[in-house]
Amino acid sequence: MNLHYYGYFQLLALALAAINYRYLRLWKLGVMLPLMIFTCAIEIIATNIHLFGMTTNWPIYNLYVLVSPVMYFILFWNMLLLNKNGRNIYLAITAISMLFAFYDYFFIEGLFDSYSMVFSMVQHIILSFMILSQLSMEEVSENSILSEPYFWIASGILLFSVVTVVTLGLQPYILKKGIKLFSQNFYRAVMPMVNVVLYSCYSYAFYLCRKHRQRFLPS
Amino acid sequence: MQETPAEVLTIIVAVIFILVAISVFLLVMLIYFNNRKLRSIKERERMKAQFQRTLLETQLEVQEQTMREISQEIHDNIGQVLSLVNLNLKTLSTFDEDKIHKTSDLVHKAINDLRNLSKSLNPENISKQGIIQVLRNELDQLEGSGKFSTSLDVQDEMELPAGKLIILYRMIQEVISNIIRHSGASEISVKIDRNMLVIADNGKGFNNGTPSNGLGLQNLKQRAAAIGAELNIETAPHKGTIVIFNIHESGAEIRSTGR
Repeated sequence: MNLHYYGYFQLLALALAAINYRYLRLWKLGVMLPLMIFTCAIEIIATNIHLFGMTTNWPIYNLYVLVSPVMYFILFWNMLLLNKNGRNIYLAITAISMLFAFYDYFFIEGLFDSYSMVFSMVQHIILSFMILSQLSMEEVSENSILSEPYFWIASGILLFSVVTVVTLGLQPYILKKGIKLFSQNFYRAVMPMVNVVLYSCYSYAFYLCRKHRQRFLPS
Repeated sequence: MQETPAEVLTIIVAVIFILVAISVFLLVMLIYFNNRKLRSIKERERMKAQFQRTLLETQLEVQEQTMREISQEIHDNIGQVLSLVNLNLKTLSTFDEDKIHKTSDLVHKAINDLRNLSKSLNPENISKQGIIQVLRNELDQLEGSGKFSTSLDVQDEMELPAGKLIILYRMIQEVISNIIRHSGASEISVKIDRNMLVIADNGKGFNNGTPSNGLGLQNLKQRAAAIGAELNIETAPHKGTIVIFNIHESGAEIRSTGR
């Protein structure tokens, strides 16, 4: 069984999420464990398609594009402090984006739903900014923002999404032009690096959840 | 004009780099402003604590001044009057000598009680005699009432600046007063060991978490903090009470005097 180098960072994040699950729940980040399990499963299957009798890994990644946004929306829902109107708008946008993802899969692209992914990443950028601004405006926090798990999760998602939007948004053009970086497909050259950043941020955030548990627990 | 793949690659990498740089810059700015906000919150907290400490010190100063005046009044005025009454009683020639003796004894007791009260109220007296002596007097008086058995164990005497010493002594008085009024104790022991002062009783104790105890304890803790001391209370219903004052090294100079 093969694994890309960034796969080890995903597994590390999964291990830390499992070990610190109790503390993750205290921080309302419980959804990170199923998300990490799902991500790692997708990555392992997609990297070893021959073991599962498949010829291409597009369907696997399409499954990720369809399912992971739900988990991310739960994650952002838990992290954001929204009022009633905000919650309604959030739910409406979530519903529209899910409908678009399904419509894209069944009627527009099908092979690899890059439009859905780009749309989802744009939302992630906006939501990450909202979380970061929420953190910056918090009056009650006595700790540095660097010790906030939400900061690391939002920062990781922001950096990942910014790169992914450009890379995936230009993917058809890049493929058409045959643009390569380090002698390989541009997407394959760039995405592992941002994956490392994303899952390193997650791992550190999970560690911080445990470290700052005293905020919620008496001992 | 048709760009070559190398040119397109450069543009894409540049766009990604610029976007990532903007994101990183925003994150760095966020960290910077958050740290600045944190520093200003801490400064605000520090100033608030400083203000509260100053307020408390002023209150205590006013209280001490009032006590000093009362003490002076007792000593100079009421005490003198009673002494005069006692003298008159002794020189009075009358047929009921037994009654005169009893009255004279009562007046004498009143003079002694007033003298002790005057001493305990007078801050100069506390500084002059030292905390050990005034504590010993206080406990002797309690012992003399016949209601309490007391002990004072001094291992290492503590030396505090006069202002802090008086605040500490007032806190001890308050603790002892609480024991007398609320605990139903028969034994009171005081132990001084280096920078630690412990007052224990065998009374009915109390539930430390009860809100009704909160204000008095909070007040004691604030006063303790004002002299660089920490107050801890170990108690439980029917288990007696131990009040511990831990004076930090910065707040007290320790002088070893042996036993």
